Amino acid sequence: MADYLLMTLEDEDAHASQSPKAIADLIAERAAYVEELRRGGPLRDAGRLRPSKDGKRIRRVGDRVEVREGPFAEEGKALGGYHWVEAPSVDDAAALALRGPALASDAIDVRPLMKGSVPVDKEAKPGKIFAFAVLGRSANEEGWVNVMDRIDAETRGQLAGEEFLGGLRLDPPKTGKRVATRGERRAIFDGPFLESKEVIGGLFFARMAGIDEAVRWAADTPFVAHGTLEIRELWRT
Amino acid sequence: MADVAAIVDGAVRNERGRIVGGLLRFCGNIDAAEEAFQEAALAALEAWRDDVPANPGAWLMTAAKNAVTDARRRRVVADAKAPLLKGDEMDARETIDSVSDDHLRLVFTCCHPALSIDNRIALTLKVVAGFSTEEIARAFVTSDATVSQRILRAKQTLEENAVAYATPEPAELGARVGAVLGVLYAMYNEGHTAHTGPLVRLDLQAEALRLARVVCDLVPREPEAFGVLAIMAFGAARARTRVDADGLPILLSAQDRSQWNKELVREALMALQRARSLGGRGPYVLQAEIAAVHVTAPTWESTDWHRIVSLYDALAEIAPSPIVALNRAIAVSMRDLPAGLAALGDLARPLADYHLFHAAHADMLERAGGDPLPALRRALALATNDGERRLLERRIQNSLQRGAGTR
Repeated sequence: MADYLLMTLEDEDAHASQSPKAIADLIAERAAYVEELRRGGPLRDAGRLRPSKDGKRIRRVGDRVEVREGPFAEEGKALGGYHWVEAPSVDDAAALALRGPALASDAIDVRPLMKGSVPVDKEAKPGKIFAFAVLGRSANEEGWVNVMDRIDAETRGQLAGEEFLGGLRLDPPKTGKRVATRGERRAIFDGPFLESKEVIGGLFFARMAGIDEAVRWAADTPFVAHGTLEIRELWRT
Repeated sequence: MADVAAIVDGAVRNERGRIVGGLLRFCGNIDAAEEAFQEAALAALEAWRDDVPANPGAWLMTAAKNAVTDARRRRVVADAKAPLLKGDEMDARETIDSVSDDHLRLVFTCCHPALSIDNRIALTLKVVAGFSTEEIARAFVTSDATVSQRILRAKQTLEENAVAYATPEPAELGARVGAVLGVLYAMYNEGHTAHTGPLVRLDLQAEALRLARVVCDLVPREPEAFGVLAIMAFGAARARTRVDADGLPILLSAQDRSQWNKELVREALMALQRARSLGGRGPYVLQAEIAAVHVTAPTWESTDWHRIVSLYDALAEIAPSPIVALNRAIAVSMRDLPAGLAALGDLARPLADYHLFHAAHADMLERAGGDPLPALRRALALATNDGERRLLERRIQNSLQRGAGTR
């Protein structure tokens, strides 16, 4: 068995224009899906991110820190939620993703984990919980892996305070699969591919008083020296 | 440089609860904590003119702590026997848990069961939310003097009862959270349908919603907190469609559903989902479930009345009241008018003086082909809110014209 992260990449405009009934139905379907994964055994963690327009991206440019306001989208899609599952193979994980609730214009990326751990109920402690997505940009996969290795080496053991609620590092994107709807059918595709966009290499969680505090904390970390951090508040689900 | 006053104002509003709560630990009384915070805010107006600090909250906290220390020195000089500080040292390190605890302690103290509900609301708006006495007086259509009196009395009661500035023990937590939620709900309700004056007071509603979000972050395992948040977010989503251009209320059946705020609808539905996954079936969660049925119905006519009736049945079991019975009767009438009228008949005595009972009665009589006029007139005689009165007058006019037309 190995660990996989199923990431729902959402067309936020499509979600924002859903009717209240459609929003409620999707929320109910997600709850049922989580329940099914939990009962079946493969679920290790799940989370929903608040809309990217309320998030921030930060990175270091020379000797100053650049903060960008949301919304964010890569190829028109923003990370909307994730399910962390155990499965025998990437194809089995992709089969779980195929049943994941999403709109037709959303996609679900399936990525193997290199490593990671998270407390059993990270949403039970007080405070706002933020997801920090570690993003790297590079023309090729080797370059991207170098960025992630460097961040990993410089941050190892640093995320230890009581405010931290676990995290994970992903294998390179070519080891993953993508579930998307083409025409009428939902299917599994190879990839995703790097090209020149920001590609996620890790995700961790921390409790902070608010987004400004999260930005202040992140500005001093090696994450932003080599890559970009996308900071998004989680919903409690 | 952006407007310093606006920056200070924003920081003061965001940081107030946690800083005043933190100061309470050291100076042991609300007045001293508020005074120190006030001093820090004034100092910020001056100091931030040239350069706004990277961490405004930490700056305000440090300045406020200094103000406490200064006040203590002054006090020590004045009366060497009365130490004002509870502990000598303040914690150097603020952790997310200590900050949350401070904030929560303040909210619990202001909503203490030893205080009357009116005094709890006044104290919470003043100390936790930072409203001025004038603002609170305006929101509740009462005088400054009354509000000042309430706040003074509340502080005295806390002193007299030697109320500890502490987070309740786990065994007590549920009941104490209930008291906090009761205050927020009363605040929201007053904003939602004011007794007098304009029908909807958005500032009170907005503040209640903001505080509900804070409370959910502070007690994330209490389903009723998420129930309250859901009720308020559903209400806020509909707020702009509840009143017409003339200030008259628009009933749910006639509201423009396309104008409901979907972002708030989503927040409400997510909060309700959290309450459900915590196993919540308390009174607030059930009311949120009822609101969810209404909000997710594409039209008034297609509302799932069956589900609404069964939710009211569940609510009546754990929190029976004539108002719940009235709302249940209205839902029943949507499926079966005679049954609705019969259910209403049982309430004629307990709700004889409640204008909405007579308004609902008039509505059912009209739908049954009867004469709604006496019930409408009775409702008008009892209603106190301007907008509601004008709506009833209009309905009476319409009814008279229709009567004249058919004769």
